[in-house]
Amino acid sequence: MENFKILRMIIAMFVGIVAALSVIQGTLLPAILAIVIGAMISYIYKKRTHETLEDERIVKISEKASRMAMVLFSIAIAIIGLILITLRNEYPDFTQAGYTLSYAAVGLLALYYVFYGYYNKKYGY
Amino acid sequence: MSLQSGTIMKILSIFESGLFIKILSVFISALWFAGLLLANIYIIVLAIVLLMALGIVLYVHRDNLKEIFQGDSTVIIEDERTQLINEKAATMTLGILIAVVIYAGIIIVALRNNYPQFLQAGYILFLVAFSCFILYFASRAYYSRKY
Repeated sequence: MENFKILRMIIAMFVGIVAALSVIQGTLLPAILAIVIGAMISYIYKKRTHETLEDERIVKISEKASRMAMVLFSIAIAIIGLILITLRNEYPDFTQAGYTLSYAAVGLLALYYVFYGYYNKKYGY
Repeated sequence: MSLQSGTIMKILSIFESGLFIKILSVFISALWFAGLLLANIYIIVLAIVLLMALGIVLYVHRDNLKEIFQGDSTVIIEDERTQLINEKAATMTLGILIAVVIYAGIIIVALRNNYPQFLQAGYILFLVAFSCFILYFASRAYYSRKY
């Protein structure tokens, strides 16, 4: 588990640095390559290793945390997006930010309902 | 005196009834739409205040939600199965959302020379991913301490 943590940290640092450099340079290819390479290394390590990567408690905590974060986050971005769009006459510079947040909220809900449907079928009657 | 307090209790119980809460929810939704269409921030603020009040009432009566909405078949009270589905769906959703938002942000900001008009959207996506991470790790720390 410790090895995987270290590897994951190294991959995250590598992807982060390459993505940041590619954003600064204004070129897309290095960022895409770094993301693909990082995902591949992580996948191969997970497949080959025999060590326990996650125990049940961590999985449960992570699921509960995800739910809490998702609920709070969706409410927050929906309200902030709405406020920014409403203030379009006073602060027109932030209208694009408002639309971006609103689209993100819509995307989040859409994704959630897709996965809810999937897991409902998987664990359902 | 007891008659007066009884009347007050009856009036207060109206605010906790299922029908009142539903009407209030519809009213709040109408306020969101009106505020958005009229570009009036005061209507939105009123909607937020009412929403917070509604949230407090529901939180106080969180154990009696079934009684409040009695007879309403649309109200879903969570059992272990729906809780499991909710948690798994939320984990998947959050993971994919963060990944997609970061990738979209990188693409938009990297292409700033070709599409400078979308630069703000790119930075907002980075901010979205960052705040999502913070919320996730905060709630993870909370649940780690709890369990």
